[in-house]
Amino acid sequence: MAEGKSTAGVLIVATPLVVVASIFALVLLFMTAGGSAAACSGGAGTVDPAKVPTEPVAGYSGEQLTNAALIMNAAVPLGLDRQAQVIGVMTAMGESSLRNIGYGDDINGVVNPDGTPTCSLGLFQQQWCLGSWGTRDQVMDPTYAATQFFTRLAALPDWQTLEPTIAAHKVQRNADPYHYEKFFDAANQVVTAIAGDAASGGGCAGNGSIVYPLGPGFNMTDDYGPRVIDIPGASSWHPAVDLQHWPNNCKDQIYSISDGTVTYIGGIQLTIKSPDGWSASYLHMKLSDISVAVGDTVTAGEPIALTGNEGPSGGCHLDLRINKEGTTDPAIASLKAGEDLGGPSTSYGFVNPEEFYQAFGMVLCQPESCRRP
Amino acid sequence: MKRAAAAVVPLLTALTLAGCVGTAGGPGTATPSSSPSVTSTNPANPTPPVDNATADPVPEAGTDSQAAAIDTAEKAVAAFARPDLSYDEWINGLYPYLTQAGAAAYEDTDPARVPVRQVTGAGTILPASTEVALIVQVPTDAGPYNVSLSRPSTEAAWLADRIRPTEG
Repeated sequence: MAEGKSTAGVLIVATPLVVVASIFALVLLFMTAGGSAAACSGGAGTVDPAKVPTEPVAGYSGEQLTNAALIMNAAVPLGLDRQAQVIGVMTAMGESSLRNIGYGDDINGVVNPDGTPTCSLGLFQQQWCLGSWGTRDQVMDPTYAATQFFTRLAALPDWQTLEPTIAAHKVQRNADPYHYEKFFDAANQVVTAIAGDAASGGGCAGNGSIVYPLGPGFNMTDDYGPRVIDIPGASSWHPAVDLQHWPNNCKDQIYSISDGTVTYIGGIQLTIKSPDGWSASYLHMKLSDISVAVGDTVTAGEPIALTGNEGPSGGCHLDLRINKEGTTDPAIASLKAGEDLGGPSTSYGFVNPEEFYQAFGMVLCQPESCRRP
Repeated sequence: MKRAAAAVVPLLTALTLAGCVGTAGGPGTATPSSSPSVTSTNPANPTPPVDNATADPVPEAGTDSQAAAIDTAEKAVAAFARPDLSYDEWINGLYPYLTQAGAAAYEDTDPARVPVRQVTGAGTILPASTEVALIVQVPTDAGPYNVSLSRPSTEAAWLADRIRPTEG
C-alpha cells in the first residue's frame, strides 16, 4: 500500500496501518463470527413492568411478561445491550417458563455428586445452597437473580459473538448446551413487544445459528414450488429458491447458512449437513470456486463458494435448497416438503426455504431489500 | 449494542480511509436494520436466470461406517451418562468422543444435571446418513438421545458434535 512513497512516508503511515490492520482483522472476525452472533438492534432502556402487553406474546402472558420486563431492566444498570436482554429472557424461558418458581430440579431427583439434592430456585433456577448465587430469598428476587445472570454473562469475554444458547449455557451450566436455542425467537418477540419498538426496527435478526447465504441486498429470481416455464424440457416444479445480487451476480461470495459438515461436492453442487440432521445444497458453482472439501466442518456464515452459471442455468445465481430428511428439529420436521405438495420425486424432502427461515424467526426475502420473482 | 456501535464507527471510518469498504459485506445477519435503505432501489435483472437443475442425492453411509458410528454413539452417551462423577473425571471420560465443537459446548456442562444414567438398547441410524456426517439415536433410561457425529474422512474416527435428548 505504501508503494512509491518515501521511507519517511512509510514510517508515518506505518502506525496507522497497524491500527487499520488490526481493525480490519476485527472486521474479519465480525464477518466470520458474525454468523454465530445474534444481530440485534434497538435500545436497551428501562421499561415499566406494570405496563407490559395485556395480550399474550409468543404464548407468554401476565406474570411471565412482568418477569421478562424485570429481567430486561436488570441489564440496564450493567450497561448491557438488547442482545443481552434477549439472552436473559431466553434463558429464563428455558429454566422456568418465566415463572418465579419456588422449586427446582431436585423434585425430579437431581442430586449433587455427594448425593445431596440440588437447590435450584426462581426464574433462572440458581442454586442458592452453593453460596455463590445469593441467599434463598435473593435468588427468588427476579431483579437480583437476573443481575446475577447478567453479571456472569458480561464476564464472558466472547459472549456477544457466541451463539446465544452457548453463551447462556456457559452461565447456567445446564446438561444440554443447546437447550435454550428454541426459546430465542419467543424471547426476541417478548422483548420487542415490551420495548414497543417493532415499528422503529427493534429486534434481533435471527438467533445466529442460521444466517443468509449471500450478503445483504440480494433478489429472489425464482421461488419454491410449481411454476410455468415455456422452455421445452424445463422442470415445472422448483424445490429451491434462486437468489442473486444484480448486477454483480457472478463470483459472488456464498456463505454457509449454518454450522455443519460438508457431505457432498460434485457436478455443480455443494451439500452441507447440519448437526440437526437437515441438509442445505448450493448449486450452479464451478467446482474450482468451492473453497471447502468433503468432511470439512463449517460454521454459520463461513465463506464456502462463489456463485456461478454451471449446469442448466440462464445466468449466475445461487440455487439454495433445503432437505429436511433426517432432521431432529421438530420445527423443521413439521414443514411441508415436495411430496406433501404434489411435487415430483426430485422434490422429495425439499422444503420451502422461505418457510425454513420463518421457522427461525427470519425473513429470507425482506420486502425492503429483496425483489421477488 | 452500545459497545458494538462504538466499535463500528471508528472502524468504518478507518476502512473508508483504507478504501476497503466495498469489500465488506458478510452474511446477511451482520447488518440487521441499517442496510435496507440502499437496497430499496435494487435494480432488477431484466432477464432472470432460468434454472432447471436437479440436486444429486448424497450417498448414504455404508454398512461398516454405520456400525462404527453406532458404536461410537453408544460409548459417547455412556460417558455422558455419568452424573455420579466429579466434573474432571466426567469431562475427561467424554472428551475422547467429542469433536472440537462438541468439546467447547460440553465442557460447560455440570454433570450433576445430566438426567441420563444408562444406555438401554442399541443405537439406530437416522435417515439421510452420509459417510462423514450422520445422527445415531440411542435409547436411554431418560428417553432417546440423538448423537450427531461427524468425521473429516472415511478413514477417521467418528466423533460427536452434539448429544441431545429428542425432547430437547
